[in-house]
Amino acid sequence: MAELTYREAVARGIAQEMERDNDVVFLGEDVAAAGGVFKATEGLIDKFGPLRVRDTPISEQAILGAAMGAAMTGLKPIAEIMFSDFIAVCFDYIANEFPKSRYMTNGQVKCPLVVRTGNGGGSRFGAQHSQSVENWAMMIPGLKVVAPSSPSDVVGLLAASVRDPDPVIFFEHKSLYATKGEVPDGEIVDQLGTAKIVRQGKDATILALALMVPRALEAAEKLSNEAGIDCEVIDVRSLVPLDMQTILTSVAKTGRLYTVEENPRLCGWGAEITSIIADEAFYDLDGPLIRITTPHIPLPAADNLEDLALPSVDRIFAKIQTTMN
Amino acid sequence: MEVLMPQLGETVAEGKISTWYKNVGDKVEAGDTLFEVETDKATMEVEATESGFLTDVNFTAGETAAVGTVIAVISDSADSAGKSTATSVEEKPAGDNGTGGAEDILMPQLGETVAEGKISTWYKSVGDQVAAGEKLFEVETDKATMEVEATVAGILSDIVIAEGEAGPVGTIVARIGGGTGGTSPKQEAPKPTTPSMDLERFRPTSQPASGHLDPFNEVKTPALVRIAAKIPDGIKLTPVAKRMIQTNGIDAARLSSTVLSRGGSRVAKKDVLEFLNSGQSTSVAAEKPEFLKVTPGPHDQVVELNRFRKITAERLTASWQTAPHVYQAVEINFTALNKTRLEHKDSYKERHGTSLTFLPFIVRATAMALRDFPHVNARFDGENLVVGKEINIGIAIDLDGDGLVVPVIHNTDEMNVPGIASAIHRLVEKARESKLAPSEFEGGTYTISNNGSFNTLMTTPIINAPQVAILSTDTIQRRPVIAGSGEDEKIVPGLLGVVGQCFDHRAFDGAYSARFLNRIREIIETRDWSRDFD
Repeated sequence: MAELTYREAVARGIAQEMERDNDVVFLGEDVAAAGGVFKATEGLIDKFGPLRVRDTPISEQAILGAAMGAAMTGLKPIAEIMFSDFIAVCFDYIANEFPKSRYMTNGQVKCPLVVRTGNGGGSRFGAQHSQSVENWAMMIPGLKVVAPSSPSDVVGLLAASVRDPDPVIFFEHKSLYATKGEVPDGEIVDQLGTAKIVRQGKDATILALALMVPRALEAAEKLSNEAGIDCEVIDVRSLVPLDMQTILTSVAKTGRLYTVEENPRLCGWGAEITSIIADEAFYDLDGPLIRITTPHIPLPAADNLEDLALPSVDRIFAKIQTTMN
Repeated sequence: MEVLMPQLGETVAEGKISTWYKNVGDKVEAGDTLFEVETDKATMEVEATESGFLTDVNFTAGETAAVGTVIAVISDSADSAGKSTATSVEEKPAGDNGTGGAEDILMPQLGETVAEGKISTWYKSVGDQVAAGEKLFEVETDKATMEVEATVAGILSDIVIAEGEAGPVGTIVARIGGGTGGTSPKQEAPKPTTPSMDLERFRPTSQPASGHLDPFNEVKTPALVRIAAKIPDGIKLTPVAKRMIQTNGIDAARLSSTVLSRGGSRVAKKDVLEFLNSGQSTSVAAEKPEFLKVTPGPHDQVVELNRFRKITAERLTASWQTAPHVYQAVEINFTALNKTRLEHKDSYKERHGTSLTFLPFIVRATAMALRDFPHVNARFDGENLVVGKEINIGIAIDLDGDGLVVPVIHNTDEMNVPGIASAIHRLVEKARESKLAPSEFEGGTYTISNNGSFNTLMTTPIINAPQVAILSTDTIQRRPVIAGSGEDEKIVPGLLGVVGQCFDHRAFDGAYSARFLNRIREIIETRDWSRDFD
């Protein structure tokens, strides 16, 4: 067991898979010599050499195009898009090429690749470098969408993503890179499509993803101590496949559901999950389904404004406290 | 016959199919090489062990399968194939949806924006022998003209759209083979069926196979829960509350009123649970109006009810609130009966160690009267009167002020006075020591409340629901009685007591009750009680 930062866990996860399988290659902007702009890929170039760890020009389309070509011809590339906002620049690959290749060739051409990308706000990067865009990927049939919240989940879910035979978009949260957590020694391989109950509770279920998981946990502790409300917190971890079993079981127990999303309000992932719950678990519900989200605005760069926009511990606490009574 | 992924070595669990040498639909001879498997250790070719047609291929070249997995199926004939041959699919752009051995010729797709075509020329007539690839007819649209060829050989058995007529894309234009005796060689015209798609093949292998719902396709909408009860205005039920109300058969109107009276506007899960646990729907405690709330003063003593009192309170409240009680009483002359009682009092005490009171006589008389008035010996559920076959009389026993228990004398009507007397004594002892077995307080069909020892003149007891009536016996004392008639009329001392009954007016009416009471009086006053002591 070692204590690693989230960023160190990224490098460890990539290294684990590159050591296991020579077909795994890694490419992106400044990922090799510079060790990544977030220092999440330090040391990989030294370990695996410039053939398998490649710096690319500043062209998201080139990165993903090269990755897809490599995947189609037998490699298992991991491609980095530095800021997830720039998925929009290469969205043709994300939306039209990766997820459709297997289908449109009747399984003859597969696309086993992983796109790692720095996602989310809280780091004062402004409206074009701070978005939470996991919902963009969630809406495309054929993509798998993963967003870990802890260093050990980073290693295990990254391994599962690399080993998946289909394209996976792997959202790392920029504001979590510096956080620390225990990571077991040895090989870690997790399973996509499994949510994790990170706090047991009986009064309400809180669903959260990535940076919102530690905030939801802190709010849950506060709710327990100050309001006597015992919340169950679920780290959704994987939006596609989505572990509805765990979520439905929890809602059946608590009767209340809160989603804590960093996505802007319209069409965030929580909207999709609450719609499923409203349908399938209607008679388990003991109150309104409530989404706690970022407002539908471009994210401000100013510290105080960005803090107001993203769901905070206080906002989660207040919303749940007032709506549970 | 199923072709499996072979064992590839002791430590090898799966193999990758590198090459397929046969296609779906191909005829295969035993010994033919079917496909090549590749592992990280070796490459091997897999041969067919039987002859037939390759009808199913579950893993294509490049895919990996576990040892023992079904890779392909070889069938006796191409007819049993789930799919038509690969080559014939290509030759049949219009699809093949025919049945019964006939091949349907469809109006082909004529362009993206074209919905129908007109047959400008038929090159063949019904009954003609047609070879695959031969021109059948010409179609004309406003954009182009094209010729349609036969995709199978056979006899043109039917022309549906004649020359000069038009039809929408996909409609049947003609049929080859089938009905009119068209004999098409089996090999060339395999019996067409709708191709079945093996969706399992396309399921991503990393996705957990079970235990995960698939929210991306559809979800299971639960059946609608309807609450029939009239819910008061200004209150809503949460979905889970509705479900629990239905499951537990709760009176939703009553529960809603309870919540409303507390100032609530929503019936939630916790309200339903509270309602269920509070001793429940019949308890008035749950809906205590404001004026009934008691705030103890500094010198007041608060006596918390014990378990027996609480249960007694709950049950009596429920009975009082649901059953319309009617009280009737008769005055009974116990003089004759008392004579017998006094005669046997001492010998009874000698034998049993206890006093022989009036109660066992009254119980005996009641049991006998119940035989004649079975509707009194009954239970009522609000709709039906359930008339008891056995007569099991319960005796309400006071637990020294701590509530009531009602032990039951089973088959009371089969017992005589001494038997009843000792049964009562035994039950009272056990009740006071809280040692009654469930069988000793269950199954009662009628109840007697005996207040005589407290010198009460009359009592109107509350029915022990779901029973329909309860008898009260009060003090029996010496009174002047007018005896004789006319000239012989005189006042004599007599031993009199009031025996009354409260009954549930829903179950029967006053006349029936009155006749029952008079039957008891008749038995007590006229029966030869010495028979019970023989």
